Amino acid sequence: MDRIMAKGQAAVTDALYFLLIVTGITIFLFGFANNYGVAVDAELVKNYNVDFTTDALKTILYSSVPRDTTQDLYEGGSEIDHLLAYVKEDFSDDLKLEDTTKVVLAKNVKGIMNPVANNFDYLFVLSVPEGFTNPRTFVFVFFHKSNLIQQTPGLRNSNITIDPNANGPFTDYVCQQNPDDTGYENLKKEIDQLLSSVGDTSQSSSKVNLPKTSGNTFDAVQAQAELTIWNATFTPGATSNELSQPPWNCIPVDELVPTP
Amino acid sequence: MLNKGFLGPIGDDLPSLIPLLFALLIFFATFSFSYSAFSQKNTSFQRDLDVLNIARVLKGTNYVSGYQAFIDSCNSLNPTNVKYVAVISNYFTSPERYFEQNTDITQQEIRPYLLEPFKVEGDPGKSLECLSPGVERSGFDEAFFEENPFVVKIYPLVVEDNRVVKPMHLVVVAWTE
Repeated sequence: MDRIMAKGQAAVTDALYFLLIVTGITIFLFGFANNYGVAVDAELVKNYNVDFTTDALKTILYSSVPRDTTQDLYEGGSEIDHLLAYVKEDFSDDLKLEDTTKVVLAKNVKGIMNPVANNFDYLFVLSVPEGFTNPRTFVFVFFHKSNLIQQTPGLRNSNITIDPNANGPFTDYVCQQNPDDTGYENLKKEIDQLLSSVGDTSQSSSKVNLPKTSGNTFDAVQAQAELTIWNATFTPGATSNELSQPPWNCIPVDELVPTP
Repeated sequence: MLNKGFLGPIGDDLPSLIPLLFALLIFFATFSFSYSAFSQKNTSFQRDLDVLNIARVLKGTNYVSGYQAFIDSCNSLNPTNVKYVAVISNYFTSPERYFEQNTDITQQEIRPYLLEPFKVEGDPGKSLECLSPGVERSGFDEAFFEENPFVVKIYPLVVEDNRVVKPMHLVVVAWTE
């Protein structure tokens, strides 16, 4: 009798072991199925962002623009020029861009980046960087920044919300207005700090030759156009208040007054 | 007397069959779930890759030199498993042509599958639009795309129109039926 009962218990124990093993395999399979493709998805999104940035930079540099800021490309009779030609012409005399050129350039960048404007912040910089021909300078800095604030200021991992006092969910700035001698180094440092604090970024850059008047001839100044995008986030070192002060010296694009 | 309580070879192992069957049940349920998840993800990856390929062919070097160049690219597309609508539109770069002045386009609700294609030289016969075989734009509405999950990819490019290089966007909408 004892032997018969023992036989039954052994079978149940075997089944329970089997159940235990199958449960382990099932948990593994379930976890694997849930995580399958997550890395590939992330990689696809990253590649798309890089593609978009590269295409956007190419498009900015290829585009034509109306020379009159009040007109658009589709109006008959508008005087149209290549954007780069327009920028080069303005840059050549005093190595700076007039506000009118900045408005034209800003409008172009903004239009091209419109599809991602709600989800991404971006920085378009045209500069004569370190290692290139002096003087090192930021020729044009366009910063599209979401107006986000921390719900509990100063608290790490605090929830982020749209600033109720801001004029809209984001603001487009043109920076380095009235640059001083130390402007390049300080702003470069600020931009590097900003980009290191915003998480994953997608960046694209291209060399641009800008002309500099030298007597009756032109010298080439090697400049660089860079476009960097990242998921909109709170940026502690670049609040609207900080952006209005040195070294940023930003003003909203809407406040730029083009010279007639 | 010795066989008292003995239910036979199967009857005696009956209690052990319960965890055994339960184990098989959860294993096959998870297996079926995993198979379906893998299949769904693979379909989604394939759709993404197809969209990337379609966009790569259509945008080329990001400089569309005219209507014929775009149509040639469109005709060179290999058949894929996805259905697609690809249009080049100035909706984002010239919103003033679609809305009143000073309308913030980022606040507008966009239905990418209904975007109007750009017409080269204003000629309706030269719309920059590329549809997969058998697809008619007239059949699109919200209900259609609620039933058919779709992928949208947008790429900036320029189009040469009347010797003016205009910034626009290539919008590719793709779905599987």
